[in-house]
Amino acid sequence: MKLFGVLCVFFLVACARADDARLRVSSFSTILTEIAAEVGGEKVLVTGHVKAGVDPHEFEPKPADLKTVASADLILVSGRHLESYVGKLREAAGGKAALIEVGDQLPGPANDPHWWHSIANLARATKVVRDELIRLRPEARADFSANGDRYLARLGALEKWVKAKVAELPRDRRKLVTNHDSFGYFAREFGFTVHPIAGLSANDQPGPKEIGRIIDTVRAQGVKAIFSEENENPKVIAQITTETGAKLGGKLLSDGLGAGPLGTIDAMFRHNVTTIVEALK
Amino acid sequence: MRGSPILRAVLVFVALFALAPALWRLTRADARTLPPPAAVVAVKNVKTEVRLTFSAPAKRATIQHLGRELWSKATPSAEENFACEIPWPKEGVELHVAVEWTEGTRVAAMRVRLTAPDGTEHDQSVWGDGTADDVLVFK
Repeated sequence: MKLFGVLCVFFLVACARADDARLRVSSFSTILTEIAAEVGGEKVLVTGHVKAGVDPHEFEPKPADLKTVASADLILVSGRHLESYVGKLREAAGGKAALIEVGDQLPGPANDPHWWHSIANLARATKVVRDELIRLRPEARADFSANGDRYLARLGALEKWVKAKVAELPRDRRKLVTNHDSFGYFAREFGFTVHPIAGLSANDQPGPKEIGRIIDTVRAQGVKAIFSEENENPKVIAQITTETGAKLGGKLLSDGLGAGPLGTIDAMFRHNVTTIVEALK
Repeated sequence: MRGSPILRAVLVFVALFALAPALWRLTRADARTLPPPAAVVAVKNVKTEVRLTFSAPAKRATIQHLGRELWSKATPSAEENFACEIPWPKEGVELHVAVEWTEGTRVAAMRVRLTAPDGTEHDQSVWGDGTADDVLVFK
């Protein structure tokens, strides 16, 4: 019995050491949390500080988040000025962990942080995360490379699906009216034109002039549907649909992963693309 | 200025009340001359010639347009032609093409050529290792 107790203690200590051996990644983007977990696999312990369904424009790290950051090996943020609290993270990390603003390493407009609506950029971000993990833990290169390749293949399959689904919609109907300007990357990749009601931040509120401009555009171009998003002003969308006769196309996930079954990149894309295509057909 | 504060307040209120309709007209969302809704004309179908060239024998090839099958054939010849009627908006046309080549075929291609309504020739190819499944844009 005594021997059994000693073995148990050894087992627990061994488990704790295995846990300690993992790279600790603190992610401040639902998108990067998925990518880091997929590429890192069992060799990485990923803490997602921004939960699915939370507006990243509004998020502020709490003391508990900064405590986790202080013990991290790698900190991942979306970048492109989305996180105003990067300075706090650097301070909490104290120069110990690498802080990567992933979006800053991707092509696209410097002031638009919504790079994850481009599958090409998701693939590039996967490579950025993979290379950083390899740099931090070179002995796990084979694992990170194999996991990365598997994840890139899944993104490739998703891209094929998106292209085929979008091809069901005539190119002259690919006009996307959304509450805030978050689908620019998606539009460029899949042949849409975006008419945002407000600006790049979910906090931007449109004035009467902006609403009037959108009403003119919707009427002039015969846009069939307008899409709403999380954290928006539903009165504005209601006013536009009433005045133009366009229908409400459905709710899109613009600022990251959704909750529950919409909590993966694959599910986010399939939800958004199906909602857009079916409403504009 | 002398006079009763109540009277002054009433005067200010009356002035604001008188200005209210004008302010409302200036600031409401449709505070400009709305153009009439554009008559969004549906793009008419036009006859389009499609010419396919296979670099290696294929088991099956399928071409879809707007989610509808335009053409499909088992063991197509090296050169295939067909005509179809599809809308051709100024933004262009997309064809979803899928090819399965015979076993053992390594990298192979299917070339797709279209003649637009204005007579312009469009030329795209899809490549694959055994199979290919892609969306080609003609504009």
